[in-house]
Amino acid sequence: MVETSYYILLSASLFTLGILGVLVRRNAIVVFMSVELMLNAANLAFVAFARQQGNIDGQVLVFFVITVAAAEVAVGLALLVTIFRNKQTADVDAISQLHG
Amino acid sequence: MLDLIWLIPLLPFIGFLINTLYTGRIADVHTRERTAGYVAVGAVGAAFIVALLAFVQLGQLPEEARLHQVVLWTWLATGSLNVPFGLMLDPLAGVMMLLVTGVGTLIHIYSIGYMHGDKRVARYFAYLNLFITMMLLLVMGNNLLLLFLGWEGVGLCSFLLIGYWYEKRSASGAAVKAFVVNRIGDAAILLAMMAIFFYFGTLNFFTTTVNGIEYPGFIEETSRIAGVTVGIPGQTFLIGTIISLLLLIGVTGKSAQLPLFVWLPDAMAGPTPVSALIHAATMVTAGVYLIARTHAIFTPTTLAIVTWVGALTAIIAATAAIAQWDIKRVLAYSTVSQLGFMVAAAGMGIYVAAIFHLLTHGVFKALLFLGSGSVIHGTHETQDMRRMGGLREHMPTTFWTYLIGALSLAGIVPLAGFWSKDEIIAHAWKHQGDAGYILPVFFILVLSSAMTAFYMGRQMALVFWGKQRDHHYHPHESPSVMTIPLVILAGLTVLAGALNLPGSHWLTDWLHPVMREEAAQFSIGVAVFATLLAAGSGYLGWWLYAVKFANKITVDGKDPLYHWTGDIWDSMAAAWYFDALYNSTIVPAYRRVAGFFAAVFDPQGIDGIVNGVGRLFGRASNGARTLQNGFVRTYALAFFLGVVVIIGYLITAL
Amino acid sequence: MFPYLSLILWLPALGALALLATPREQHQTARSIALAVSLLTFVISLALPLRFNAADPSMQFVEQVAWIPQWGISYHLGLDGLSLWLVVLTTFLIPIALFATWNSIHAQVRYFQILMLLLETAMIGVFIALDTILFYLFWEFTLIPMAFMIGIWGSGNRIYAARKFFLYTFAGSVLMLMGIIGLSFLHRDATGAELTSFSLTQIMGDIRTGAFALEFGMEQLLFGLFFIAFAIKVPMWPFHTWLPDAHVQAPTAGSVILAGVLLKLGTYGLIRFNLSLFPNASEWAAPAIGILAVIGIIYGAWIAFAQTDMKKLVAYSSVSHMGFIVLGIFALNEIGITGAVLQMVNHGLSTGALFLIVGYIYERRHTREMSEFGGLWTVMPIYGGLALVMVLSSVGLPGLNGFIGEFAIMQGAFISPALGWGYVAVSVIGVVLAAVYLLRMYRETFMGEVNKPENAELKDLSGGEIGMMVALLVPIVVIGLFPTLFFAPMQASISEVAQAFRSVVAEGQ
Repeated sequence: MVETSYYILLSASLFTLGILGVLVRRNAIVVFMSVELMLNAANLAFVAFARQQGNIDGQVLVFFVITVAAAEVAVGLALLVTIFRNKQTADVDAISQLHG
Repeated sequence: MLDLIWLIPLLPFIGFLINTLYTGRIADVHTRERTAGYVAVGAVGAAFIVALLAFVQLGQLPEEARLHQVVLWTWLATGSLNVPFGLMLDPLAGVMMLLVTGVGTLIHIYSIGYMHGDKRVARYFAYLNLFITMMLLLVMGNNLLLLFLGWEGVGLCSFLLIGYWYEKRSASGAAVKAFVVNRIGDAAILLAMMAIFFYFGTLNFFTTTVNGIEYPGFIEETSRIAGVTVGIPGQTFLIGTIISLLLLIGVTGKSAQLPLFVWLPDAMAGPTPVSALIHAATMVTAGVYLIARTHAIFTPTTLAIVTWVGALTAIIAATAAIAQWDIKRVLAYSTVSQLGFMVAAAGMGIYVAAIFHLLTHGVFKALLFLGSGSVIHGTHETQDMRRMGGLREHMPTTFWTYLIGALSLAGIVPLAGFWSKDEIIAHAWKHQGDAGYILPVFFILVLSSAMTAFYMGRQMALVFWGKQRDHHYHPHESPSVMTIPLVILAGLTVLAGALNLPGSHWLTDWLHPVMREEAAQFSIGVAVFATLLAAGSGYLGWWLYAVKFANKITVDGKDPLYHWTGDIWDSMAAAWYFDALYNSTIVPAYRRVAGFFAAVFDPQGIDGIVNGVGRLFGRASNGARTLQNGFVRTYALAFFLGVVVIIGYLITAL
Repeated sequence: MFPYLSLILWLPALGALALLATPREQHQTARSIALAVSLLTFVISLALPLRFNAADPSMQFVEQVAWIPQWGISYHLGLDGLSLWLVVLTTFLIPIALFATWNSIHAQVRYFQILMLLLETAMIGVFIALDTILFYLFWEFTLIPMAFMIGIWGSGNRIYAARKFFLYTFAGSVLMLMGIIGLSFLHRDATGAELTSFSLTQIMGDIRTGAFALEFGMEQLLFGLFFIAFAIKVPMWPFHTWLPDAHVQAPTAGSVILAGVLLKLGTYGLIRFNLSLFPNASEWAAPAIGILAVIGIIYGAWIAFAQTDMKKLVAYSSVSHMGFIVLGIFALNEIGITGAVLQMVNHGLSTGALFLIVGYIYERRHTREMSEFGGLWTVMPIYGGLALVMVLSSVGLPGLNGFIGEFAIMQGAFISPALGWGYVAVSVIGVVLAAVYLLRMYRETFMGEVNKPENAELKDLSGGEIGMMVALLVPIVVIGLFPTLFFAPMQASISEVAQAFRSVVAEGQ
């Protein structure tokens, strides 16, 4: 059996990759994928701890996260499509109407 | 009858209401004018009759019981303050009330003729009636606050009547000036009232019973403040001195004394009967009445100041009266001067003499003003004496009555003015040892009375002697509705001296319950001296202008005496520049500061700070605004850093 | 017990709701409904003085329903001698103000009427709320209709004025909210109760019995929080600068209500909160506040003299008059406080009347510059006569209402050990200056010759306009001659307030 710490390490690496992706990349699709990466890093940590603790609460929560993530993808992609139609770009920096 | 004394002020008030609410709306001009006059005269006449009956009844009471109070309702009651709306009748209020309603009725009648054809006559009579009401409240109020209501009320009527021809800028200015100058004095009276309440716990003059509860009167309890002082260490003042000085300031306002007399000459912008009623016979004497009423509070220190104020006013105004050309301004300054006599008398502690002079002056000055009104009326609104001359033949009734008035004012035996003025001068002479200032005051008063005779001689000469110098008008005698009051007043002027003749001294006895004064001693020496002096200077004044300079007086010309006196004459004509002084210092300073406050200090100073605070927040939020740059990734970084900080905190804290 | 207070409080709001249902275009209907509702409210409110028990110092007509029981907040209404006449003044002035707009408001008539009625509910609410949170809600709610009234129907620089009015007074009230919350928490801790209580009567009662004693420093702090809120509302010098702006830009009806009632919220609050809750701090602060009040009296009067705009002149005169009221309040004795409460009513009547008078001429000539006028008395005699009476009432002529209030205030301040004669000696100058600026205005506009052709043909007041003036004139004269009618119901409640200071007052006499 693999040590829980390895899973956590993997989860942390994935999460860091996700954050970097969100912060560094400008393409909205990539940002979006990075967010998914972060969510899945969290899922991995949940599952790993659930297995270690021997109860299924963590796994149940993962299903919730997957469901919400799916919904989020649906809404997010719909927004993206609309923005792309209006702006002809998927660059997040181009969408800065809310600046002060 | 004595319980019905509230009718006396109420009747003219009803006249006021009728003339305000009803008469003004009558469409027909003649009916309106007639109704207004009849209503007003009827109201005041009825008040006079009631006053006379009440007066007689008062006289039938035993001497010590001659104080009747009628409390109509509780006016102001809160905390320990309890002021009734109550009227009283005592010997002093009685004589004042008769003067006000009696002379008032005559002047109302006269006004019917004088104001004939005026387009706002209903308003005029309404004001006159309101004035009588207020004046009666002033003299009959049983407490200081009600007296003050009358005091300010007559000031209001004075304002309204001076500004009666408000289209004229000078008239409206004089009206506002009169009101404001009076208010300065009134503010002092307010302070005096509050101090009286503070130290006595009451504003009633005498013990008053309201609903079975007795409220004390402060005049009876002056011993409570005997010796009580206030002030900073090293410099203390008697409470009585402070209160009475405040009252004196009020008196200088209403009775046109130094330094607040400047409004009265300007007040002549009003119709002449108003000058007679308000600015000679009644309202301006209210100050003397106030001193007499509250004399128990006055301390020797204040009385010395009162005497000086009166004497200096008497001489300054007398000199000013000499140098006037306007027939009414001569009389106006003369009024100021005579009021100075009364105030000086009050200051010397001879209140009966002050009231005596007040009464006789009320009669003969009303006569003189009404006479001057008759002259103005008969010469088609001419007031400049240089344009008159020789009116003796055209206006015989006016001339003879005016002559009686002038001789009385000059102090010629046996007219009323002689007796009352002599009482004051004789007292000063007899009591010159009482205090160091009495003798100089005596000389000032004697000099003033000589000047009085001089300017009246000058005026008689200018108006009635010589030849008519301006032929733009045809002089005519006034209608009988105007001359009959003149004749009655002239008759009273001859007789009024009998009120307090040496030997009979009826007025002293009558006022004894209030004033507790001994009869004045008559001095034949002083009387002869004063009479000769008055006759001599009066003759001089007449001779100079009727004979010597008869041909040198020209329309718009200089006075012949100017040749010898020069600048002094100008100073006299300007009443020693008091008015000019105020107009060049206080008034512009007040305006300038007001302008500074309004244009600079308020919008830029105070509001500047307020708006500055607003701008400060504006700036700060402008800075904070740039953080919100709209880039999603910046926000994400902020979230991330926030999470890092929170987790870092949790880790280190645990 | 019939719920008079709730009825009077909510009737105008219900009227506003009903107005929402009327068609937008039917201006006349909207005006009539609003006027009818406000008149009905006034008539009902007349039952209050009639059924008021003058001998009872405690709250009357009390209604209490739990609202947020977890926090001790309730819907708690009541009336005592302090608020009685202020409620009646409010219900009296609203119909007059509504009637005054009959011919002058033409845009969005319905909304104007709605705001006016909502404002009435809010103002009455402030005077009768006995729960501090409820008080705060009504207090803040008065701002909104007024700010809109200035901002939508005002003239010239109205947005600036509305914003300033809102922000300035709001800034003060936020401090008051802190004070309210702090007070209740301290009260809970001091009495050991489980729940906080926001009931004013309970906190006040505990303070009077000594069950709730504040530490002096804390009392000073809370006093200050409340005081700033109220001082801005009054407005006291130097917080007064929003007032001229708001008045000049506001429509006539807005000015009448602003001067007539809204300013009184501040002075009412000073008595209800500062004096009743923090007697020690009140005594501590009275000399300083007295100085501010006296400065306000003189400064307001002085600056009014330099104004050329009649409305601005009247606005600054309010600063001066409100200074008198604060002076009376901080005399801390019955005479002064009674005078101050009466003067609140007086100021509402006379200044309301003066704003109407300015409004009448503004409607006819669309200017308020004094130099544009002259000789109006000749052209409009009835107008001139009524204006003169109102001016004199404001000047404080004895026999009319203003004098009674001013005299009682100054007498109270004179015998007060907290203030004393020095304050009165200066403020009495304000009485002189009042005559200076008001009579100057009267002289410039009403006296003199008719020298402008535009003025020669002006119509005198209509029957309705005369009616409004007479409606104001009657109480002005009645208060002047029979002030005891108005004093009597106040006595018991005010002596309750003054009780806390009585020991000191007694020493002074």
